[in-house]
Amino acid sequence: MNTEKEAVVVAETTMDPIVLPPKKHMGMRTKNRIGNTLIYILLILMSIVWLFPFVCIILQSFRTESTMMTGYIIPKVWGFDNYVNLFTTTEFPRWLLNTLIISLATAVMQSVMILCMSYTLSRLRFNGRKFLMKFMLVLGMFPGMLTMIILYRVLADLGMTMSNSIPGLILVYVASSGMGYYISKGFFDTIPKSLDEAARVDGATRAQVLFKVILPLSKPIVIYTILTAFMGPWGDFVFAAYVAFNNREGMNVAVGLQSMINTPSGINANYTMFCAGGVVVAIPITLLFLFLQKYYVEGVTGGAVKG
Amino acid sequence: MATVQLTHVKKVYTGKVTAVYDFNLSIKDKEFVVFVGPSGCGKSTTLRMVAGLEDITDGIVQIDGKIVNDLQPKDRFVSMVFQNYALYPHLTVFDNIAFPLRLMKQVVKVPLTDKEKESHKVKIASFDKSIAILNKKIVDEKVAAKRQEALAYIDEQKRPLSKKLTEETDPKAKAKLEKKLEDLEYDRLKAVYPIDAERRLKAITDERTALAAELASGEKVERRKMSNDQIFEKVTAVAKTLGITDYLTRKPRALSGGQRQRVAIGRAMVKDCKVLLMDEPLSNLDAKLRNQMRAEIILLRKKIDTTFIYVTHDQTEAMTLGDRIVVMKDGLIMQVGTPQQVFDFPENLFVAEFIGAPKMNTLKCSLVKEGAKYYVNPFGAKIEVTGEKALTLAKRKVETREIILGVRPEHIEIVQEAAPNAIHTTLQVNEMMGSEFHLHLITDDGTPLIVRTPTIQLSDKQKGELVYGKSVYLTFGGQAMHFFDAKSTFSLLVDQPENLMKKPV
Repeated sequence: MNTEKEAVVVAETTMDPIVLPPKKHMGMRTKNRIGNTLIYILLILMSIVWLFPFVCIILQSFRTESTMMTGYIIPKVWGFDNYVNLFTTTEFPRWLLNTLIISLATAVMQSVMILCMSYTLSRLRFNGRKFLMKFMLVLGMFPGMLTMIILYRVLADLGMTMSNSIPGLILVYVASSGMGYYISKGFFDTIPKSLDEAARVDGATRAQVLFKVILPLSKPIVIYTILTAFMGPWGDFVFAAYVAFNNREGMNVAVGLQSMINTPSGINANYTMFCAGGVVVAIPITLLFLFLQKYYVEGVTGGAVKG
Repeated sequence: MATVQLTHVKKVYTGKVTAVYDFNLSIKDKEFVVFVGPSGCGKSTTLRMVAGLEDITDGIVQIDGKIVNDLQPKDRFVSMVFQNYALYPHLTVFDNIAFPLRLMKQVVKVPLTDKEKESHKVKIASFDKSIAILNKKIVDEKVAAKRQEALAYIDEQKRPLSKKLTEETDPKAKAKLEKKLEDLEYDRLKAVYPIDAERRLKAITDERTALAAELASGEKVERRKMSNDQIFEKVTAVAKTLGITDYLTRKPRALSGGQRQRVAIGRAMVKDCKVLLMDEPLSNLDAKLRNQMRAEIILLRKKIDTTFIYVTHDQTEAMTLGDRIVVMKDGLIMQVGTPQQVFDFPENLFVAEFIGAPKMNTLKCSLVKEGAKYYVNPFGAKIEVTGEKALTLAKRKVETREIILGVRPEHIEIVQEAAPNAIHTTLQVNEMMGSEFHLHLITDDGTPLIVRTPTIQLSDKQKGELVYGKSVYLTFGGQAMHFFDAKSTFSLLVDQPENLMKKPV
């Protein structure tokens, strides 16, 4: 104890020596370093597990020596054959176009619906407003699958299935979209009401208030809404498969790609092409995310603080 | 530039909180009216009802003679300045001020083309035909008779119900009956209201006259958006008036409080509004800036030349800005008058205490009539009422009674020694305000009093003596007194207007 104390007395300087307290524990910095290392090891392990399928699918899509599933990951012969074949020999371009049409239409309509709904619930006071909000909350708790059969029946009666499934799918995706109002309503609630009032006195209608004042102030949430509205139909499989009912013209990419490999012979003939399709589908979403990432994150937290 | 008329205006919020009871006020063209009162007195609510931001539960609001109860704010042609500025954060100062102009549509006269003239003539001819047909329909006796029948039927149904209502004691049943009566009254209104044919006739006649007028003048009226040049001109003119030309390209976030408020005022004055409403515009500013902006608003008023309604809780602002002050409390108007009237002749104790700083001293005592003279006797002193106040009391034949005596702090004098007309007090606190002292004293029985006394007349020795515990004798002139009824707190000097101060049970 004593020696330690003497060791930390700074004797060389002419000034009064500074006496530091004896070191009893590991330093803060060392502690942090060990903790961080452990955390990083865990995170790296997790990301390997998480990234493995992605890496796999990308590697497989460049494999040209065979089209079957194999026991190894790294291709022996590399090439773009799968991509070329995908676009030339299958109906993939059509499926992609179908999906794009559905997703864009849904993104536009659903965003308008959600934003208008949120503004209404945030700003207007009417009888049954609270009940409506609670009702939709409860309704949202039921799994959507429950409604699938009856929805199919309705669409079939309207002639919106099989090869004509695009309008049917858009209708179904858009119809219930008003229920996703929570996040944007929460965000709108944080915008002072006096801005609305000022705009209304300045001569704006309710719609003008929404489009000229509220929406420009809620850019993150608008982008978030559009993004989620676009992504839903882009990756949807179950309902799209159900509505298309094996009609190749009415399929979206997910269903179409699955249809290539849903038989044993199909899986042998098309597996690598299927992987290429998966990569192609992922590209636009990835680009969108990279481009809008900043707003996306802002949007989610921005609306959540005062929901 | 317009008159504003509020008749029996009432506001009840859902949850049955009454914010405004029976508000009656007529505001003249180009008048500056200030609503003043403590927070929660309904002044902002009233203003917001004029603006159209709040539904009117009952009563009528007229702007420029036109009933605006059911008009949207945008159709009322009012401007408003908000307490928290309410600037659009995503727009620059220029765009903020230009916002109302961009939404506005201007009336422009355009000459009619030959083709339009022809179509106008054809339309007028067809309108004439329909008018003839409708007239015949209305004249038809059956219509009139049927309406009479309906009215008679409704009246017949109402009679037993109203009778029942007077006899009914159970409040629930009473409410039900009242609801029924209300419904019937509504039906009655519907019956009296012009029937379909009459309404259509009126619409068609209006359109016909409009078309005929267009034909006669050879011009038609079109509503167009304002051009960018016009907007630029107007905005820069306003910015120049307010001295914010240098900040036009900035966003509100980069402005100080005073600058923001200027922009808010600019946005309100850029369009030619009928009424400019201000909802506590200076409350968010610090004291120094507030004084400066107050002076600027007085100057601005000369430039803008429109009708103002200004809401504040600060009596100084009310006194300095208003042509007329409306003092409110708990949703009721306590007094309406010029600042001088309100200060000199408060109609009730509330107004007396609210207007003037520091607030008026109130003493419980009695008013004694001895022969033709009136005396008050606060704390054993005997002070004669003199001048006009005495004359008014005599004229109103006021007898000896218990009163609350009000004396403003600046009207109380300090006297050197005990006298029959002096009150003995003990000094508690001496607030040095620069040119004057605010002395907080208590009388022998513990009633607090405040006295404002100018320092200039006092010698250094006297100033030094005004410390805690010093005994001070006070008196006041017979002219400076205000008399309020001990129970109702109404002034004994003026008549109470019937419609004020009536709080429905």
